[in-house]
Amino acid sequence: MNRSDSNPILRELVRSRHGEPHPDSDILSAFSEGALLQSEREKVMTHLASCADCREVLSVSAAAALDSAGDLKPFVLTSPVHLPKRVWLPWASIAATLLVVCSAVLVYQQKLVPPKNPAVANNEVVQHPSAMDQQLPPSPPLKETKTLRNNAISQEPEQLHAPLVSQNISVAKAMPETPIDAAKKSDFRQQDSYQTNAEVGGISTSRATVLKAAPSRSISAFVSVAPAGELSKASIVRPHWRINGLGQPERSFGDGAWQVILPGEQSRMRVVSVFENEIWIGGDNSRLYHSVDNGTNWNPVILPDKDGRKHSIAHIHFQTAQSGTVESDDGAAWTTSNGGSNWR
Amino acid sequence: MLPGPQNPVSSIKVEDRELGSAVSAAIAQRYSEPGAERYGFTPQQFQQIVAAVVRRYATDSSETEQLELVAALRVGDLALARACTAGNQHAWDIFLVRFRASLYETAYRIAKDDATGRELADGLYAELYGIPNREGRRVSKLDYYMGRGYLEGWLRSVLAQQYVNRCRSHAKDVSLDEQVEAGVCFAATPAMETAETDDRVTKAIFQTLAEVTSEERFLLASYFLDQRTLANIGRQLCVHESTISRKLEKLTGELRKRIRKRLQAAGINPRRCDELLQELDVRDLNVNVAENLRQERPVETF
Repeated sequence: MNRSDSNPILRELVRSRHGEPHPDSDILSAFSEGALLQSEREKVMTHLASCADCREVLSVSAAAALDSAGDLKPFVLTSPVHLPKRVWLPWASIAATLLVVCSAVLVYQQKLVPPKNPAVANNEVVQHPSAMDQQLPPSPPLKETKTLRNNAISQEPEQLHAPLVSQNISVAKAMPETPIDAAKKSDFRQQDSYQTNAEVGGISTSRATVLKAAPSRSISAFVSVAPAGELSKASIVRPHWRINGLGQPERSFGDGAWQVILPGEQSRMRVVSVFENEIWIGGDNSRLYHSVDNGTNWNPVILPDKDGRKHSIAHIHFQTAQSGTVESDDGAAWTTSNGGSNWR
Repeated sequence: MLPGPQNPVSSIKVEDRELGSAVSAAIAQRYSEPGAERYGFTPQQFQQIVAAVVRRYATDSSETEQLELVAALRVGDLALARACTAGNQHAWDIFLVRFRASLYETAYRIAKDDATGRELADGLYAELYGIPNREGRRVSKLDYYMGRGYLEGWLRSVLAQQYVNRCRSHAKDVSLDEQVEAGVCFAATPAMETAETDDRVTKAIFQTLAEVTSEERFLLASYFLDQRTLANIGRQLCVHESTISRKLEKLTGELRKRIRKRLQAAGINPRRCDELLQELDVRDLNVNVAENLRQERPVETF
C-alpha cells in the first residue's frame, strides 16, 4: 500500500467502505470456482469491487489453492509457435539418461575393484589388445584368456575377476575384425591411456581403456538396461500433445511419431488442455472437442452463443475434471461445473 | 450397516412445499448420485437439506435459476458436512481422511509459519467438531457450509478469513514505545495536496470512472490498488492470467480513450489532450474515487 499514501485515487479507494454484508465463505469459494449463478456472480463482483476486505480473503485463499493445485495444473499448449524451440528437449533428456546410466555402471564397476595391488597391475598387459591378438588363438578365446589371466594374477581369487576378464575378452575379440589401421589407432589410444592410467593401476584402468577403444559397443550394451525400457513405458502411459503449424492437434506416445487428431476438422486449433485422461482441444470458430479416453474418441462440444459471432478459443482451464473454464481471445468465457455437459 | 445420522436436518425448519415440482424432482434426481445415501440420509432428509440451500440462495429467483443452482450444488460434500454435523462417525472418518491433512497443509501455506498455521488449523478443527452453545447443544461450523463450492475450497476460504481477521486484530496492537521511538506520535499531519489541475480533466476522469462495470472496477482495484499479481487475480476469477492481462490492457486503453474523448468534447484540441494525459500526475487530482467506485445500490444479504 505504499503507493496509496501519495496517490489520492488509491487513498480514496482504501477508504472506500460500505455497510453491506460480506459474502460468506461458501459464496467466496464458489465464486473462485466459477460455480455461482450469473446473477449471484455479478452481485459478488460488485461487492468485491469496493470491498478490500473480501478481496484480500479471496486473494489469500486463491494463493493457497494455487500452491496446493500446483501438481495438478493441467498441461496447456497455448502457443504452437514456441514448439520448435523445444525440439531438443527429448534428445537432451535421452542423452542425460544415458549419461547417468553410464556413470552408474562405471561407479558400480569401480566398486568391484579391489585395492591397488602390484599383481593386479600386471593385468594391464593382459588387457592390451595387441598383446592379446598375438597370444590368443582365434578359438576358443574364453578358455585361453582365462588361463592367461590366471597366470598373470595367480595370487588373486578366481571368482572375483573371472567375469570381468570375460567381458574384456569379448571386446578384444572384436578388435581383429576392424581394419588394421583402425586397430593400430585404437592401440595407440590404449597405450596413451595406459600411460595415463598406469599411475592409478588396477583393473578399472584397463576397463576404462576398453571402453575408450570401443565406445559404441559399450553404450549399446548400456542402453538395453532396464531404465530405458521403463522410460518408454512411461511415455506410452501418458501421450504427448501438440498443435502443428497447420493448427492440427497431434498426439505422440513418445516414439517420435506424431499422429494427427481430428483430421477432418477445417478450423485451426489453438489450445490443448490435458487433465488426467481428459483432453480438451479448442480453436477458431468456437470449436471445442473433448475426449475422456486420452484422445481415442472425441466429442464435439457446442458452446452457448455469445455476442452472436464465432470466437477463437485461446485458453482451457480445468480445476477439476468437472469444473473448468474456456476462454476466447476476445475475453468471452464459458464455465462448466459438470464436465462439459452444461456451459454458461 | 453404517451408523445413521442422529438428527441430520435439525437446523432446517422450513417446509419443502414452497419449491416447485421441477426443483423437487431435480433434487430427487441428485439423491441418486453417490454421497447422500452413503451417509444414511433418506430421500426426504436429503430433499430437506438441499431445499434449505435453494431457499437460502434462490428464494426469489426463477425456477430456471433454482434448477441451475440444484445442478451446481456439491451434494456429495454437502451430505458429508451434514452427516458430520449430525454426529455420524463414518462421515467423520471420511472427513478426516479427506480433509485433515489438507486442512493443516493449507493453513501452513496461508500463514507461511508453522506455529501460526497449526494454531489456525487447530482452531478451525475445533469449530468444525462443534462448540457447545448456551443450551449445551454442540454447534459445528460445518452447519454454515451450503455446498455451493467444494468443501475443500470452503475450508480454505474459512482459513483465509480467519487468518485475515487475525492479522487485522494483531495489527491494531501497536507498541506505544515503538511508536515513540519511531517518532510516529510526534509526526506532523501531512499537508493536503494543493496543486491545481484543470477542472475539465478532473471532471472527465470522474465521469469515466463512474461508467466502469463491477468487473472492471474489481480488476482495477485488484491490480492497481491491491497490487495483486495477474496470476492471483486470474485464480480468483477462475480464468487464465493472460486473460486478465488482456482485459486490463484493453480496459486501461479504453479508459484513456474515453477520457480523451471527453476532454475533446470539453473544447480541448487533440494535441493538448495528449499533453494533458502525458503530464497528468494522479497526485494532483482531486477526484473522490471512492464516490465514483461506490456500488450503485446496496447489496442484499448473500
